[in-house]
Amino acid sequence: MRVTRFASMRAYVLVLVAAGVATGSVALILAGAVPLVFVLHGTLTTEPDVEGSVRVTRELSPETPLPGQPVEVTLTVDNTGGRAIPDLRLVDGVPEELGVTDGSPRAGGAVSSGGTLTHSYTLQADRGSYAFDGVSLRARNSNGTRLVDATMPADGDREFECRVDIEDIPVQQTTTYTGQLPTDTGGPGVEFYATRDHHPEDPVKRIDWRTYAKTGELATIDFREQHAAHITVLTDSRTPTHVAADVTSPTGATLSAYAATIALDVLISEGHEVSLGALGIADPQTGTGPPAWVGPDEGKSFTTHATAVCNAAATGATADRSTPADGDETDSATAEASTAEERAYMTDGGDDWGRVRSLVPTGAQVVLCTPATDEGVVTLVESLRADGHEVTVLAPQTAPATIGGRTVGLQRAVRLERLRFLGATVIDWDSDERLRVALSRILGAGAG
Amino acid sequence: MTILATGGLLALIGLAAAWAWGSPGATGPFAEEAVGEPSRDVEVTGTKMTERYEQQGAAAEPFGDPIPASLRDTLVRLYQSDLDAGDAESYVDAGEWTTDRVAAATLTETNAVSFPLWYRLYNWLYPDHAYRYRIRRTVRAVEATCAAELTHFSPPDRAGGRLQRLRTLFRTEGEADR
Repeated sequence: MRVTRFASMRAYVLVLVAAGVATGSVALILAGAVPLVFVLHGTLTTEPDVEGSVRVTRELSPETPLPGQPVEVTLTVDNTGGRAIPDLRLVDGVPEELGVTDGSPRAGGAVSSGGTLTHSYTLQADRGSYAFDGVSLRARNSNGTRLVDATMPADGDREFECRVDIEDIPVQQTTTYTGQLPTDTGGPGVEFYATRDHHPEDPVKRIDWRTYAKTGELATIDFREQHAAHITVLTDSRTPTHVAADVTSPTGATLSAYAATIALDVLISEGHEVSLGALGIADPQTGTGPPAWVGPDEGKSFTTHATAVCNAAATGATADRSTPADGDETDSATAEASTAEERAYMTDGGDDWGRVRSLVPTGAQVVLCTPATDEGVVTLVESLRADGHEVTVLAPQTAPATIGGRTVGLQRAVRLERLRFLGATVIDWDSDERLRVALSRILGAGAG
Repeated sequence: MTILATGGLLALIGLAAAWAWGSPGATGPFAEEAVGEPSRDVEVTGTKMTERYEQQGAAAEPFGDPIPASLRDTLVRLYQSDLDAGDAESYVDAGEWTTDRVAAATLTETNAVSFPLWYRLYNWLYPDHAYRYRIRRTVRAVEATCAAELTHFSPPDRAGGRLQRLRTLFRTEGEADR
């Protein structure tokens, strides 16, 4: 593409030469040579080579980010041609859904023959699959009169997936009772619990010989029994949870699903019997619910089913989103749903979370992953506590530092305090804290 | 004079030529290409409140402002752990929850607390500024109360006023000099 940059010089040439001819002045005609040099330079220079001379490579770090994790994108432009490119500009084809949080996807500079131009910027990943478009390039010659535009796919990383899966979980462990939750009953085990009168059927190795030596009576040592626990992981994907701290951050529902996935991974690998519930969405495979439910009796299909439910919960894919997510209602004091329909939706079919309560097995401990953006969470925990369940809440923060965000954050802080008051263990998951750390606090609390 | 006239004539010729033969800005489409701004439709927490705070100011209907309503509800729920609902509301209405009279007057629904005279003057002169000042101050007061009352809440770090920022700047530069 040709760019006319010396139009005025062309006019000066014409004016000076015409004036020189008209007046017979050789000086004026010679003066016309000065702008003529610019015009000729602009006309005779050639276009810089881009196609076949430029190679762009894109690298992502990390290549498979977790939701909310920054992804550093490094573009490397190699000039493999024989000529330098005095002015090369590029714009990376950032996936439309993602936002740049640091730096810019635009870069530019001169690239000598065999030289390299490197540029980095940072994206924030959300759960999903993303593909980069080609890199837009624009090269100019040294005086800017020739311009070449090109769009070329980058070598290296062209797409990435941001997700958490539990594909590698050893499924057979879901039915193996090798859990580590200490119980408050005595029996076989390791940790001393109590001594009791000896029964003839007690194993000889548990006889307390010290007591026998002192008193001459047989006694049996009971150790603290360690049983596999049944743990229900609930992830919150109701309409009020689909809010984020900013447009580049994952929503509360996504973070909750992410936390639930990791929690399932850890709990199953430790041998606990686990079930999964996703509030606010129907089962993506069977269409039942809400809540979507995956029970431990599913055996080998548990992993696949749980992954599908967590993915659906992250996006709210199967939720009835026709109910408007009115920000003011979510934000303000009147967060409670005003209509019976909305209330029924929020509570999965009843004012007292009846369906969830009926699905959570008796005696199960509950890990609830929710951003706690509305009062429904309080009633849920209240119901679960009333049913005798130990409840641990992992609450990702989704409030920005704006006035509105701080106001909503205050509501949430009071809400979490009320959950603590109800007897739940609450982990306030700061976005700066790694989820594994937060979960280790949860699982430690749950296990204690 | 002749030099000026010659220069002016050359400038006119140059401009006319550029207008006649020049090409449209070649950098236009490339520069306008929007990248790095996410297109996904996601609701950001508290957006409507923030927009109301930033754009509408005091011009918004005073009784429909969601920020004071939300802050008041937060306080009432906070004190409901020790008081019944009516007493908690009375406690907030009486302004006993804070020593900040502006914040207390913002959240009361009675005449128990009124704005100080200086604030009323400020509000009369600069209503929009006064509105934002009042909201900021109330949010800080509620945050301070929550920090004192709740077991796991710490208010966000304050950037500080201009004087504080200047002090920080001088202190930093002084330390660097040493």
